[in-house]
Amino acid sequence: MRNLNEEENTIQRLIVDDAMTMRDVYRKHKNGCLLSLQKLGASLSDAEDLYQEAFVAFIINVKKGSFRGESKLSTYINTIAKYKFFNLSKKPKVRTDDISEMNIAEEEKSELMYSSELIDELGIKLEALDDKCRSLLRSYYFKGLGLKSISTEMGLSYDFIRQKKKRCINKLKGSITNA
Amino acid sequence: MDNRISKIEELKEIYFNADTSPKDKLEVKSQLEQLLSKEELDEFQYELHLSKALEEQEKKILKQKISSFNKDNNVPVIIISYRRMISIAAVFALAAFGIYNFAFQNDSNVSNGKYLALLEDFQKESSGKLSLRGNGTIDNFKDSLKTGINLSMEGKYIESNVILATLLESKKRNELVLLHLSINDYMQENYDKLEGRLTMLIETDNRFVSQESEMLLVQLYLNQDMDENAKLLLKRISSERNHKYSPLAKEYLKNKI
Repeated sequence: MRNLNEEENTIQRLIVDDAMTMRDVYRKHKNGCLLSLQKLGASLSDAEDLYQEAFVAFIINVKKGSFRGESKLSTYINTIAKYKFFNLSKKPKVRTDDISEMNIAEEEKSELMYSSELIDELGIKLEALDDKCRSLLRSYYFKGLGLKSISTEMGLSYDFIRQKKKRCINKLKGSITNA
Repeated sequence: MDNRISKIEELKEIYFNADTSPKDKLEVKSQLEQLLSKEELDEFQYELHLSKALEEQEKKILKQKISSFNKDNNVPVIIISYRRMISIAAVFALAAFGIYNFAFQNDSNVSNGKYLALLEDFQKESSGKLSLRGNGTIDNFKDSLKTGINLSMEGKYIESNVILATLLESKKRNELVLLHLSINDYMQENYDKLEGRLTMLIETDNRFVSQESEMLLVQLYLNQDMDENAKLLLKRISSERNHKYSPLAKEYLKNKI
């Protein structure tokens, strides 16, 4: 019970970008994950790269709200690393009934459907976008907050936020076409 | 708005919502693909890429942080000779003398000290206001916010952040929560998100929040050597007669920050 509460606290701290907690979690789970990846056949150098990628994916999922402590942190990070290793080595995936593991498998699969050129281009244009638009688009498309939640959070009407989101996307598209 | 468009927006919102599982996302996606015209499908693809681009930006920042964790792990051990130790000690002694003089005689530091005192006053005022309510009224939100602020005043920023972040999730009256989270981030020199947050907060109609956010943003700019941005904001603050920080802003400008 104590561990569970500790992990819940850790997740809350990670959500607010607490750098010390992030560093502690990173170090705490590193060796265990490297060991399990090496057991699967990864070299130490691959295992280190995979752990870093898995840790980044883990933090992203915490921030997006996709991971809310359904399983232990170590299990979750190791599972992401394992699926990244399967993708790298083209080894067949292990069938599983674990919900959180199935979600990770789906997320890893969906990585393949994007155009990297468009993503790079959007990344540059997002930097150039004004703060309000960037924050609104980030809340909707990254943090996965609904328009209603965003409107409550910003203290603005639902319709205004809906229109504002459209205008921001058009601005982004405009800046891409004009580039 | 006609039913079809409204249905499409509803499905998109479910798709991008954090609570939707990847499996459900696939179902919603296939529903959308059946419903959308070619042009609308392109639009949806664009939104998917936008979502991914935002994620990639976040990943880039995280990777930079992680590489600093790795560097911290490999602290090189250097053998220092006795003579070199004496010369290093002398340099430290001189530096300490310089820092002492700088801290106590530099006008900017005097202004900065005044700011920190005013910031603490603001925290006390915020905490005090949250105690004002009818007899026997229970308000968990206010009580938690007050605890979060008090912990911050005690320097327990991590504990304070945990409480404030939980409050932020409840998405009520969050401007004040965001401001106090920003104060904690500033005190911990966790500057990554601060500018974005404060830029949003200075636009609010709540003067209590916006004035404090403006001055906090000035401090952030000063700490990051963005003096020009700080000057612009200080000029704006000093020109507002009723601004809480107008006299201090004038002092900063006089001392040429």
